[in-house]
Amino acid sequence: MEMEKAPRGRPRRLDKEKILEIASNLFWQQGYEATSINELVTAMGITPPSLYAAYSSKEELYLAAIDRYSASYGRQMLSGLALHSCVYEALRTVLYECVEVFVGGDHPSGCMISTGLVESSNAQGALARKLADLRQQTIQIIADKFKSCETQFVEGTDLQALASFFGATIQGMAVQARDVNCPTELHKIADHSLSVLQACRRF
Amino acid sequence: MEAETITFNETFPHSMQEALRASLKVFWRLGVHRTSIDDVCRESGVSYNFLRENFESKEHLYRTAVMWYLDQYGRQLLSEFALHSNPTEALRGALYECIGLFCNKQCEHAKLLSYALAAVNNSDRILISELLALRRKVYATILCKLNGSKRHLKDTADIPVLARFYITTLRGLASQAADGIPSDELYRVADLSLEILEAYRK
Repeated sequence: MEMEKAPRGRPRRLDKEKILEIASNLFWQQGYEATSINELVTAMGITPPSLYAAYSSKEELYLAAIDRYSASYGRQMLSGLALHSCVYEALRTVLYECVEVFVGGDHPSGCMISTGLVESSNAQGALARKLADLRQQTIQIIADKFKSCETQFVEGTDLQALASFFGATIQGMAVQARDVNCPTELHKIADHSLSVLQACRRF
Repeated sequence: MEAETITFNETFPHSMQEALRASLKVFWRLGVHRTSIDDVCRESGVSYNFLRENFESKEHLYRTAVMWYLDQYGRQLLSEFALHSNPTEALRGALYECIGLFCNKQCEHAKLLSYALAAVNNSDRILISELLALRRKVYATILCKLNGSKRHLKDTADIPVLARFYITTLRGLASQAADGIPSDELYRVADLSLEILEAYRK
């Protein structure tokens, strides 16, 4: 592959938000390990020293990309919990927003957190732990919503297990979206899992 | 020898299986990119000549080891389906079997199987087609089991959607197991998911 010549004249100002967006999409699409610094700087149109001036390492860039994802898509996916007092409507909105994000559009399919690093080797242990914690945080946020809506459930419902079940549904839909990128299919899966919630409701 | 041509049946040499098992442990511990054939020999005790005679490269060794592993454990994973005529119990058996495998801390490769289903995107490129094939096989087996149990299910049951729901659940369980969620919590999640199938039973 022929290398593009660097543009002449004064170097372009580094748009940190833009390079973070490019990094996020590459990491989201390919994962942390498969994305090289070379690939990142080529996509960003900058040199490695410019990138290292902004982020001291690939790990730091990845963490910034994860934070960016959580603040935008992560918030969008969980927005239903704050919007609805009815637990069924809240979870339905969460699952449908997840589908909206997972099927892509102007970004890669799947979920950067659900399909991100897991502890595949000791080398990225700390990063993998951070992602695992974020995945657990999502389950805990759902569990907290269930607890705050306890009166809507049939007595004796195992709310923690129910939250883990929806955690598994969300993670499962995120990985399914990468193989079958079809919103209709994912909506049907979401509706099936909601029938478990419906069966636990008092009214 | 091309990895694709290997049939992992009962005649597949035991010495080769041992070598693949030992090699996979080393790849897994050190990471594929950072591991050379020399590392595999030094860490696993498998002879250099044996590996060189049978494998063209590190990638060839790794791919063969992974294919052997997935074939072995994939079969174990799917065997539960054949044991029960009741679809709920067949799926419960399969989900429990998976959870047992995913959470088995004695099995160094258990994570690989959970990654295979979870499809984490840091998987080595070599693996991608093998992992996809395994996932398709699991989906096809669930679909086949549910189709075979059609007469036990209500007419309103959408069998392909139910099959996709259970592969989704399985993959969610795989992700959670890889994150270290305790198995007793995962068994409860599996039980909750099976309430859906129960609701569709006549």
